[in-house]
Amino acid sequence: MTDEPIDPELDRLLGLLAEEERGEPDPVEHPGAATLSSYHARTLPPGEVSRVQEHLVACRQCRDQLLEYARFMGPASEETAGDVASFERAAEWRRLKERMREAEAAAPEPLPVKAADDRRRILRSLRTFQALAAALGALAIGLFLRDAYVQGRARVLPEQSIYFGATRSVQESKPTRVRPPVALRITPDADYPRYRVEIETASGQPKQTLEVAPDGLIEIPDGWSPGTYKIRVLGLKDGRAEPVGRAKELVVVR
Amino acid sequence: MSGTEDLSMRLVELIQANVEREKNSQRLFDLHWRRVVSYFRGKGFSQEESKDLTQDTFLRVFKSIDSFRRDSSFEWWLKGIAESIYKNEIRKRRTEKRDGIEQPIDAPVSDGERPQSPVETLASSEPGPLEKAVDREQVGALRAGLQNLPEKMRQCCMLRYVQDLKYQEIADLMQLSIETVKAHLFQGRKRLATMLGATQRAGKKGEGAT
Repeated sequence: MTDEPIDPELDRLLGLLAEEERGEPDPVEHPGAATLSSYHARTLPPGEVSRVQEHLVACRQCRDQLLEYARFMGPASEETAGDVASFERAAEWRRLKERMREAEAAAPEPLPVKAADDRRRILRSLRTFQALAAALGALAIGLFLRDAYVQGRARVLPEQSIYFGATRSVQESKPTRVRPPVALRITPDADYPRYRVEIETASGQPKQTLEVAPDGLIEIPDGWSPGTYKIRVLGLKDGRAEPVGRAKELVVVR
Repeated sequence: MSGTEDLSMRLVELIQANVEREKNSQRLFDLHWRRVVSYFRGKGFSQEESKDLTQDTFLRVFKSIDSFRRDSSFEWWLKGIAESIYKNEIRKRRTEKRDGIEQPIDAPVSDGERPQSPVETLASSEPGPLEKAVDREQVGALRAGLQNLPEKMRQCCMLRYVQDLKYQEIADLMQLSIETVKAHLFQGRKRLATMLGATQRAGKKGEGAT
């Protein structure tokens, strides 16, 4: 049986509750487009799914986005799209190509013939420099490798801080952009002797898990591919691990 | 990801890698043209207007496709562009109409005395202070009762009774079947009604004792 039982008194009270709740503003933080898109595609890890669903219950803006996306991805209705023959679509494609050509034509003018000749001459002379550049490049790589060998573990990486905790919501709402190699200082707004840092890729694959002291450093090495990662901090105490603040987005750029 | 989303992503990769750019762009256009026209039709534009706005959307898509980072699905990105085109169009039309006389479609038509709306009728029979206090207490109990429901049941009840969503919308959002949503709502209502009955009985008992 799935029909909702009739109870006027319950309905009246639910109506009063709805009036109170609807006046509440949407949460300040929202999952990013990548997270919502992955949620719709059902490719988020289970823990993340619960967090998104809890957010959806409270956030009209994200609900509307997801529902509209579901409609957008639903079967295109005959009634709204009209009877579209393939030739009509092909005509629209030709029109689009024409508009793209016009847009390109309106873009900065191509170089005149004389300028093109000049450019060819410049390119020829550039080839002379290519050999020199290659030699210089090899020298630079050699110096870099020697430097890395000599300095070894003593090398100092640039530092960036990332905050976790309830009282830092403004900073937390922005993804942290880092350019590897970089040392990331984990600054939790909580009081645990140690913290576990979990980093996973946008598709939910674990990337790195390690334990740090408060204000400890973790290294994001050069080998990390650019993209969005999810970073989560858990406070460790008496054999328990408790989340500190919300997971943050870490954007690795080149 | 759905088959369409996978195919779109593959086409985008090929376009970004300059592999048969025009052919793959056309395939991407063919795959989504109807969807975008439908989007604008759903927003209330005519077929011809929708086709023009779809052109604007794809013009922007192909102009900036190299900067699409693929961290969301292509369709999500495409919908975002269509939404932006839609908002621009609405803004443009509003600016054009700024000097015109606006008449809201839901404005009262009659010249004489306006009949009282059902909402006003309800508002005029406002409860007294005692009833309000009882209601407040019961709404508080209801809120606590909702919090005690199992997670999915609570979320379904909140979306249905507080946020006023339809069954299908709740099913889409929570990634459940419509039957599961109905079952959660049925059970949720039953539990809330039982809890509320117990609270009312306890309240009456308390009043009787004093």
